Amino acid sequence: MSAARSKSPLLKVAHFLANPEVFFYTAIWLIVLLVFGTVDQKYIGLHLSQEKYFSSWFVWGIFPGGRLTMTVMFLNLVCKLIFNSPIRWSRAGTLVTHSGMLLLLLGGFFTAYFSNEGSMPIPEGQTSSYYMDYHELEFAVIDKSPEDHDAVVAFSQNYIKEGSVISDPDFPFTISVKTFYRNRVLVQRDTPLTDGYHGLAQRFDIKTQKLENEFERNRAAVVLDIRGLDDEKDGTYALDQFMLVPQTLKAGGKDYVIELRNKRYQLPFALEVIDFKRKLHPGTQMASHYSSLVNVVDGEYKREVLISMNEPLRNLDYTFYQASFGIDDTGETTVLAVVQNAGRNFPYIASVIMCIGLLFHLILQVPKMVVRSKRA
Amino acid sequence: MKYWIPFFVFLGTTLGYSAEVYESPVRAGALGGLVVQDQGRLKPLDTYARSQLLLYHGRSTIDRQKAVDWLLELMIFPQTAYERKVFKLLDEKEAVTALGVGLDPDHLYSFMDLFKAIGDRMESLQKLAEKPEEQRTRAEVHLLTLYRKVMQFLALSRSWSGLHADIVVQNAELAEAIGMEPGKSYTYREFLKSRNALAKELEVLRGRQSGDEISEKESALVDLVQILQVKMADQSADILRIVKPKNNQREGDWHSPWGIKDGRVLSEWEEARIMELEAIVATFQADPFADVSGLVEAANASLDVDVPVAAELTYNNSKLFFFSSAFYTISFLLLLTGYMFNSKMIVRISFGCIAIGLILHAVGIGFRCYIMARPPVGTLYESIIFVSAILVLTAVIIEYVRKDTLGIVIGSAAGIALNFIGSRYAAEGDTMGMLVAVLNSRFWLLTHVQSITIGYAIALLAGLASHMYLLLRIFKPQDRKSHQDIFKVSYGVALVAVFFTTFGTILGGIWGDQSWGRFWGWDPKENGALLIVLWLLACVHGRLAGRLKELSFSVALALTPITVAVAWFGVNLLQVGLHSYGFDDGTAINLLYFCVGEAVFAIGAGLFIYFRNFSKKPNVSESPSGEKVSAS
Repeated sequence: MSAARSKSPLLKVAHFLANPEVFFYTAIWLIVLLVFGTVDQKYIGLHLSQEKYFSSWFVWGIFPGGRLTMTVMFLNLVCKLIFNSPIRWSRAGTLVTHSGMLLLLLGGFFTAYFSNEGSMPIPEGQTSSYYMDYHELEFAVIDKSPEDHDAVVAFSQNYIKEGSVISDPDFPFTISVKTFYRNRVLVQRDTPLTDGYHGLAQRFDIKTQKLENEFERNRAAVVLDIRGLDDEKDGTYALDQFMLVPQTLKAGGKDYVIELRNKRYQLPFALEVIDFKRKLHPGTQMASHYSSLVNVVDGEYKREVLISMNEPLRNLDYTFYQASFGIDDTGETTVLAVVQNAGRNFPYIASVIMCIGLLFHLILQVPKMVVRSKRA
Repeated sequence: MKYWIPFFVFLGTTLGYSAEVYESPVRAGALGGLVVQDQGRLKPLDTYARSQLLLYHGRSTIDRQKAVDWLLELMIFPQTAYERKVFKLLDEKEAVTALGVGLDPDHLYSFMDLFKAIGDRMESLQKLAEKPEEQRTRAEVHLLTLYRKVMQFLALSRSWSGLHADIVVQNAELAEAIGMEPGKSYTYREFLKSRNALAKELEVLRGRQSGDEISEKESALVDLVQILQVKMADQSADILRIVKPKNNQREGDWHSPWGIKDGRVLSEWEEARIMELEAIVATFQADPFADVSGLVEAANASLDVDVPVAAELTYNNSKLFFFSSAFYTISFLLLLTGYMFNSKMIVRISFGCIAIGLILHAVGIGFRCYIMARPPVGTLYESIIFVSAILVLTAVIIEYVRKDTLGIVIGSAAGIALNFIGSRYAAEGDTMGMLVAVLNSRFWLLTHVQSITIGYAIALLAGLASHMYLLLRIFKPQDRKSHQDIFKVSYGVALVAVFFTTFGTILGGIWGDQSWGRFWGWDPKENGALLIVLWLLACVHGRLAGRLKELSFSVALALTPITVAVAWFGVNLLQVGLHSYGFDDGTAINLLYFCVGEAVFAIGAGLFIYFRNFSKKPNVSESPSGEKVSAS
């Protein structure tokens, strides 16, 4: 360490970062975040709290957030492994453990930046080839005119905010967003508005309300001003995340449908649900088992797979889990959770490495400590 | 010593004395082994009776008598059972007062008292039930709970009423008309065969003009209808699922005796089951002390289900955890005696006692695993019992290696405390509950939950060793050798705790990845586990970096039990996680006491030692951070 003093400032920083003291302080700070981030879940829900405390670079303005804290931990580990790891038999266990930890954090970054997840509800007997993000929305404009397909243009969540304009050279109309509600209440109007109001906006007044703790339960809505439609239908429209009747627009002699919906990810294959099964613990309403029998449809080729609790389907980069279900008059709907994660193998490898390292370290160190030292 | 004897005699009599000692007029005997379905599991009637009695009485035995004896009295001789003071309402004083029932010094109330009082206040209770839950006061919540308990008690008492042979027609003319023998007692099932004939008779009666003279037969008919109406009212007593569904498989909902007599024709299979139960009831009615082992055996055999009844009965009756706590207590007391007389012999016996306690403890856990056919930890109660066992086991190993009584002190004290907490949780009903689907996968449950609970146990042990370190420094400030020795133990145990908590936490992540597709989701339960890991890692690295000296490290490590308690019980209070596996209302306040107590002790002791050394002998204070223990 003393050699560091004569080296460049960068090396000095690196040597400083190699110190276990850095971990000591970052760990304590992470504990603070952990406590606040957990307790706050009671008030703002898991999703928002996760974004505020753990996926953020800063929290409460200037304080380091979870991502920054863990980045410092990561640098600390890298520097420690480079500058502060004398090769000694007695250090072998810690060296291995720390390498495993490095891998685990690396996997965390991969997951944070390169993974998608969402849900895929499929009614029994039907086929689907996309899944929906849990939280992120999109604005879709669907051109119904082509005979053999729908031409969909989807606008990301960034477009869905007050004042933004949704337009495309192919569209004969422009849409401007008047108000966006992340969680709305629909209030039926006593008398429908006729003057320039159309569709949902005609019959309902939309009001904002407090966000739900379970973020998925929020129901978004948006009020739009649309110009350039046929038949003097220009005016105020409203879209709800869960529309019963789709909003159609007539413009340039074509039919369009506009939707406010959860962001969709297209899969390179499709899933067809053959059968959904649910088993209860006898005499209770407690589920003991769910499963979905599905066909993985890839072009002409079909493959039958059973997805159940703890027995997911893995296909290409994607993993499908049995997450939930819905039962109504029309039948059963299975809900699969879909995860596309390039980093998903990291924790497995990392944990094996860490466990070997820790065990090695324990075997080397602990007996010395627990055995009673000889009285002098 | 002699002077103490009268005191104990007096104590014994006061403890034994109660205004009214419960004594069941029946002995269920082998009936406890009859298989029933309850809360998703097939279990012996004995276990069911215990959980029911716990609900009303707060204990699984009543005045040293078996719960199943009490249950049998309730179902066979309900009228006497109604008068017995079985309801123990210790915390529900406001609810009792609200019902207008005079407070009982023993907090014991009979069903009849409560039932009458509820009947008088039905209207206001119904209004109360309509009130939104979050607006109800504590007393109102108690009142409603009590109301439900009383109603369930009533249902339980009537659940076998259909099996009683108490439908009698004396009038010969009527009996003949509906195909019954005059004067003979019929059960409801037997009577159902005459139902159609009875309906015809009733048609005739309805056709009568007012003012016509009523014959004896007709008045007997009216009497019979009244008896039947009372019986029919019991149909709502759809509780105690004891009749296996006819398609002969283990899965599927079982029925209560009343549940299958809903008017349809019984299948042959159902009728045979009901007849078996009727025979049992008749036997007990004839002789309350009858031996029904033959009947029960035959009934269980015809069910053709694979239930380890004998094992569960043995487990229920052996009170293994109670005796293990008793041995831990004896061990602890003997150890104190051993210190007092400086006797190695007594210490050795004390070690023997803790070992016996541990064996009983382990056998108890083994029984549970065998009965439930799953790994030891699935519910909060099981985690407490398991943590207790692992902690004592590790302490015993430490004691075996070191032989300096450190292991006995920590092990016995922690074993007593944790088993006590466990017994409080056991008071909530049958402790062998079923698991929700996501927890119901053996492999991940086995690995993650077991290793994280082992981690809890060892982290607690490390914390307790630090407590010993602090106590020793306070009371034996000169004995530096012992201080350093215990410090080393606590450091070593902390490393082992790091291993198990880290391993368990990562396995939790892998379980999450396997079950719902994300390795880490900052879920409260995961955060709780991570809290312990980070705390332990901070302690270890702080020591390595020289930030924590021997004393400050010990203070920090002595605070570890707080993180364990928060992770274990605290996160359940938040109720937002995907897999919080327990919930309890009073936990919050106890948890707070515990955390504050621990913090005050650890920090207080640390400050006391620091300032004493600082003011008196600066040279004995902290030795340089170097110590040989800073290995790694």
